[in-house]
Amino acid sequence: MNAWLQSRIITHSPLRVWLLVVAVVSVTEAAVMLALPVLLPAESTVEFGAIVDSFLLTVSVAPLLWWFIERPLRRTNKLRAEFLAEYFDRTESERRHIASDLHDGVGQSLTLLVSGLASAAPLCGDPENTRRLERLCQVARTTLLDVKRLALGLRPSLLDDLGLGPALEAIIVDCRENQPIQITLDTSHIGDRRLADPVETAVFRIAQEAITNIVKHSHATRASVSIRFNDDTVELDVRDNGCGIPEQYLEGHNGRQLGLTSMKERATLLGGRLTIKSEKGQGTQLSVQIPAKER
Amino acid sequence: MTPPIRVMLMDDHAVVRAGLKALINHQEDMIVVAEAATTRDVMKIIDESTPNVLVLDLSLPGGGSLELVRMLHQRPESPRVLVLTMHDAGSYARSALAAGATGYVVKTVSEFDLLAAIRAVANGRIFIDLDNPAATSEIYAQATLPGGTVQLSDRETEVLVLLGRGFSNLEVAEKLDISAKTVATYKARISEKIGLKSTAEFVKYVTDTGLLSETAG
Repeated sequence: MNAWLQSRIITHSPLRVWLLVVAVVSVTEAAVMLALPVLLPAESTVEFGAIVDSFLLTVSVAPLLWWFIERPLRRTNKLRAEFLAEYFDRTESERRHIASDLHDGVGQSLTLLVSGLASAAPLCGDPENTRRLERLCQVARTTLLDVKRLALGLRPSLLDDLGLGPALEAIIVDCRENQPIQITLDTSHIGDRRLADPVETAVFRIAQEAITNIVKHSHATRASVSIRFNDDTVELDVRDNGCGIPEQYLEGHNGRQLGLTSMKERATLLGGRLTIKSEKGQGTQLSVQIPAKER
Repeated sequence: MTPPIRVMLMDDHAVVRAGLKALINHQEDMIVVAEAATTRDVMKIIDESTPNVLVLDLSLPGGGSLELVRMLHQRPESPRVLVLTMHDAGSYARSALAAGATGYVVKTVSEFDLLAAIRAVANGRIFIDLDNPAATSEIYAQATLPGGTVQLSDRETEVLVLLGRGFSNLEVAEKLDISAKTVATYKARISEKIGLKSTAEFVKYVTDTGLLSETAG
């Protein structure tokens, strides 16, 4: 039986695997019990019998369990990790594409519109028309800002061009300008050093999600984000003084609503780990460590 | 009469180039001598048209704008580079100036400011306008530090100053709470950027540029 078929059986019909294991255990145990009187010396104790019994049962069932459970599970895990990595990768490249079309395409045209309207307004002579052009110019300006914010939220080009520090700086500046929260960022430790692309993306997305959670749910008044890089590990630390994350979210139920599941997946996929400390009314502290090398 | 400023335009959007060209050619003191949409064959075009100022977009298809700036910065007789871009983040401006551009202007500035930028850059001055006064003056202050255009990041400057004061890699590492290996990386990068090798040269640079007195207090 090939590995693919094995992992298919265990994922598609776990019940069948369970039945198989139960059947194998009972048949083997019956066979061992029948064989014991023949194998054991007549005057042996009950304890000795039990030891021989469990030894024979273990020896005959262990390889089967390994073959039908351990191997396919490992394979399934590997497939899952590969799938997730590819999924994240594709999503990122799609977002990169849309963000750049928005920022450099739509944004560019809007910029032309803004400067065209701005230079036309004083030339049209009639005060009524001038005001109308100025209003239109203001609409174009606001739309341009919206488009830029959309692109920033999707995937800032800064992340690809200049790395984690500048990209985080951009979303923090945006947060300060648009949210009633005092938020600080410390990137002095990483500076302009560049890490492998998947690591930069993962850390950025985790930070982005954490900041979104703070803004949307925590009611925090202060927050801090810091990032450190120590030759082989990149560390992200996000804290706030908000209401904390309810326990059922941290235990995995409904974690998806806060993006906690995908944050954990991103860290684990790269061999890192993510921990969240949170108590009701005591704020939240999220920390992430991911192994990383400088580019 | 002084000869007009020869301008080359690099932007992948034809509409943007057409608008700029009309605006520039309408001025008496400047003229567009070449245009390009990508970095392909750009050196050849520059050699043939000998522009004084290259007005360059940062997001060209296929990228390579910053590399081009770096390359031009190292070549003698290259045009001065004025970056004209959609990106208003300070970090883009910093990296463009570090690469050797002497102007950085976002596309939302007025035609008047853009023309002023071209004139300033052509005359060898630094011109920065991010359409955000606070960010602009911050970048401008860094760009006009002793030593010319921005070359070092904050962290690199810190490391340079400490090395310039005569501390060893290990001592610098302890002071900044980073590993000695990281200090070595910074040191290599600083050497590459400002062309210094020995500790003695670091000390001299730090003293000459006034970095030492600035950070001592």
